[in-house]
Amino acid sequence: MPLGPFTKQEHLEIATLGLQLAVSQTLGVLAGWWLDRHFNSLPWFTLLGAAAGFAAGMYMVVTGARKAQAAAAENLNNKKADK
Amino acid sequence: MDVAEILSHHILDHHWGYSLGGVELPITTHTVTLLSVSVIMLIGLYWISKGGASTLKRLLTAGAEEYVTFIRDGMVLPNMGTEGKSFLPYFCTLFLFILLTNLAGLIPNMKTATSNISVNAALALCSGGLIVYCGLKFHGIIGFLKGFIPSGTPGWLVPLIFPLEVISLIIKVCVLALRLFANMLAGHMVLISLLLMIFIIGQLSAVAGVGAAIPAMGLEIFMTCLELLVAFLQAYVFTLLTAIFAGSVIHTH
Repeated sequence: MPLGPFTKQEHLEIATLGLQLAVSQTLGVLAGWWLDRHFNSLPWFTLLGAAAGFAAGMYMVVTGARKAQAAAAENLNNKKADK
Repeated sequence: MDVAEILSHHILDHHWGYSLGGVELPITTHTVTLLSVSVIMLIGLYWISKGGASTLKRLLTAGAEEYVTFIRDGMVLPNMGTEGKSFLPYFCTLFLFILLTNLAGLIPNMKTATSNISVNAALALCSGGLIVYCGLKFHGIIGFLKGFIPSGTPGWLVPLIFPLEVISLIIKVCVLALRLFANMLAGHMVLISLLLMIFIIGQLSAVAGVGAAIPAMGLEIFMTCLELLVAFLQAYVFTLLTAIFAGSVIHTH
């Protein structure tokens, strides 16, 4: 059942984007913090991890949004064609 | 009353302390729940698959067929296409296993094993393995790796985009585990916190405690119903997202 311009699957993927941003940043910081503890270099790897996590998260949000936008346009075109 | 201790006792896993020849056996409340669910699934599904003439058997067989059709037509085929048919048993098992484990937590004296991040991490690893296997099976190693680079990416951007895409896949799998963990843990924390509210207010005054029991129990019943919905919803979301991610690896653009 289509909900607005999106299908159920697309809604679910869009709803996941926020969590993906949060998790990627958290994992980046944790990985950096672990490396810092290992190499005794606090805070450099933590900062690098935070930046890398943020970059990865933003990349996922932007690509996810672009994919959703394309899917919405395709769904609307299909609707028009059906009419 | 130590609220933190009661909360942690309700939510965390407990080692039963059995050992065999000095070796600690990994028997905990969560492993017992997981094993119970597995045994019930194995015996129950085997019993249903044997078929029979009784009304109950026919009803259960029809229910099982409906369930498999729901997973196939609602999740696997729309997202993975006909290529996903061979993975249908995995999705059927995954949904039922998560659902029964979630529901087991609502039975008194049983624990929600899915509120343990290790259990969810294992489930997510299985799903991650399936996603990678799908990519390798349908595209080969080179094709699978090429699939990480979106079409139209300029050559100089590839060294940057490729690791980002690989990290994206890893994070997607991590998010699968975390979502289930957070939802199940939070639900059970709310359930016990509502019950504890009665005793916390009761410590101030016994009459206030009795007065608080009525709204608290009402909310408790509401939350239990919500937990029932969440149990189904989270099993559905986990299975559907696995199918979506596997489908996106199979049908790369």
